[in-house]
Amino acid sequence: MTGGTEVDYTILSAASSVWDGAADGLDGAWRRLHGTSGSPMDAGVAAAFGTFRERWVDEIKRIATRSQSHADSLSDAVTSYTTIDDAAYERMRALLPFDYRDSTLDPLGSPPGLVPTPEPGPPPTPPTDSAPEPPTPSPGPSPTPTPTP
Amino acid sequence: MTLTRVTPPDALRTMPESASTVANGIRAVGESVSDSQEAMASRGAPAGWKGSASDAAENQFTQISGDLDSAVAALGQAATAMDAFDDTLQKLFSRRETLVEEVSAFNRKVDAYDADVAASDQEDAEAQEALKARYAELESQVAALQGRVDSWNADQDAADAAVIRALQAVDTVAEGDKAAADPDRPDAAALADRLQDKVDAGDPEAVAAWWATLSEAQKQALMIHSPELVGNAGGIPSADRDEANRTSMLSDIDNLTEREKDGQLTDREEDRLENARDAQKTLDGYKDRINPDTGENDAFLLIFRPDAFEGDGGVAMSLGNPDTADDVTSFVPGLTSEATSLGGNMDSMERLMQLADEKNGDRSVAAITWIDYDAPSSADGMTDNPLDFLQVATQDKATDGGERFADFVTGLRASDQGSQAHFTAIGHSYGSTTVSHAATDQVLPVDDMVLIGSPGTGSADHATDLMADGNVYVGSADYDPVTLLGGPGLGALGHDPSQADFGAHRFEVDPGSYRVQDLLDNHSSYFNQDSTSLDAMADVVAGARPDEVDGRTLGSYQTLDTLATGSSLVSGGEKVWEGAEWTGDKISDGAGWAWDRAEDAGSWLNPLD
Repeated sequence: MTGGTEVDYTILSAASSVWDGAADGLDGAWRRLHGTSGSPMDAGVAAAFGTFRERWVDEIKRIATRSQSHADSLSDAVTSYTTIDDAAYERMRALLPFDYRDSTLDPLGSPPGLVPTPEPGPPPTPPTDSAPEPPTPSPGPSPTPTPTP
Repeated sequence: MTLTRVTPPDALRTMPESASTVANGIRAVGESVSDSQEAMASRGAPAGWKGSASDAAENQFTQISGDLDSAVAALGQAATAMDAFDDTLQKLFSRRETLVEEVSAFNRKVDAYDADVAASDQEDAEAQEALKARYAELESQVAALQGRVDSWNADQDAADAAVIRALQAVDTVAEGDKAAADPDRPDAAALADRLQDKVDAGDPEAVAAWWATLSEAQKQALMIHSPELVGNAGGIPSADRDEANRTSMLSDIDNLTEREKDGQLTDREEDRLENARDAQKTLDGYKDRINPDTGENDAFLLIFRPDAFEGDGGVAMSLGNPDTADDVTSFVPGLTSEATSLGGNMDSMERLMQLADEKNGDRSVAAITWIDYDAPSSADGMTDNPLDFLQVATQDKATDGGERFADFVTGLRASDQGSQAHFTAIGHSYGSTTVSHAATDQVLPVDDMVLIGSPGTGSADHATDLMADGNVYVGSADYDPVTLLGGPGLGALGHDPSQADFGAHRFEVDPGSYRVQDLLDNHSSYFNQDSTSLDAMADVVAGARPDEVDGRTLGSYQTLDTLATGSSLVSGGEKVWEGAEWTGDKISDGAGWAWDRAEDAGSWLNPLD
């Protein structure tokens, strides 16, 4: 990812969920407040409560709207990053040898694993407890054919 | 001479219940906003997110968290004001009732005086002197009484003015900011920590003493911050617990309804929402039940734990304030009871309360339904088969439930006001086993105990194991098969308390129908209107002794196998019990008897629902 953001998608999703949850709670709150009234109630008290109620309904609704907007932005960002990274991954995969095209990206950020893992080569040093093979005698130079008289 | 009549007090312009409704709404809004604010403060900017976007988000979190804090502060002050208004209105309501009676009585005296003057003989000096004396006496009273009426009117005006001022003080965002920054603002989080410590210490008396030291602003802040803690804490006054639990309930409904609209509810949240809605529905059913002394709603939500027991929920509700009532009863229903079983059980409590109220003279009554234990349910394998009483319903949940019930009653004792109430615990079916465990395993501070439809008394061998003074009353219908599970001998859930040698006071219960199809109904008949059992329980609740009948002795009643066979035969023979075996503590799986085909399975399992 580029553009000043360093975050795993899951973290962005979690942040989006926090905003979304807050927006849900606040939406429920302003609706509750908007519907709160008592009857019978003294006209002066009812008017004072009405002013209080509507002022804070507006404020809580404003914050709820903003919270939902942030939640949506983060959710959109996750979608965008995922799409971008999917495209990049496809391009990278296309450059890999055929046997490595099933490689997956490690979500924790470590380098992509290679599948299948290449077979290890032979050990550089032979085991110390094995007897060395006896040297094979050199066949020596081929006899020079004698010219036939 | 003409006497002036006293002008009655003005009408009460705001009913206490109206102020209470508004206060509950404000608190619920406060809790929802507070929860959102805390979520942002604690989880808003995730660790591991760095860079300019993270910085921007952090700024937004901080900004919005601050805005929400101002809203919480304003809502807290408004809730405090409205709650104080409610308290004042209750006092005004009560004073006004008295004043209206006094004014009415006084004015009747004046009317009588005027009539006597008109009819008097002006030449009769003696009669005229007597009238003069009456005039002087009435005139001396009129000023004092009118003064009290005027004072009441002024107090009402002052109450209105006070709440108006308080609301106007926080009706702008700037004033909310100022309230949030007020150094005297209660620290709700710190108060919650202190209350939690006291609750964990298990000393409701200490909780009650500490709560009494708090200011109204502190109490309201705590109710908004941690309503579930306040609402379920023994020792806190029932009226405050009710306010806190209603706050939780309304906030849950508001928040989870929004998530429901978004299709985001988890299974557990669905249970929570269902339990909250059911509690509100039950409370709404009693919204017109107004206490004539206070003008307040007379239903109290004493426990609200919608998440408890893997979503079954825990709940307790009272009709009448148990802190001020003279006679209090708490009822524990049986198998498969859960939070949504509240409504049907409250109907039973209402019938019991009304009857007890008629029996105890001037004493007041409060009747509680307590469903805050994990009664065996379908999740445990309970089916519509009564054999599950023995094969599935072990004593484990009665033991755990008994501990919770004892804690609940102990908490109520700590919040009791005035002289200690007379307290009766009632358990039905598996609930009777639960109440028994509360008595044998814990300290259960009750005066009387009633066990009805009992399958067994847990580890109690005798009534004195339950109540040292033996105040155990038992109702067992002869044809209620569940009451035959505990004896003779020892059943899986303990002894049958209606056995004579158990030593309880057995009261008369209608035996019930002998048709096998009706045996299930017999188990659910104890609270039926006009039943002998309801009357007897009302006696106990009212502090009287019901008429007693003999306890069961071998040969004096039909044992389970006899009842099953006999009732099957009189029902036409098509439901003959095929070879059930009584083995002393269980019936064999092969019984395969007619109950399996009982039409009213739901009624069997949760007969009061």
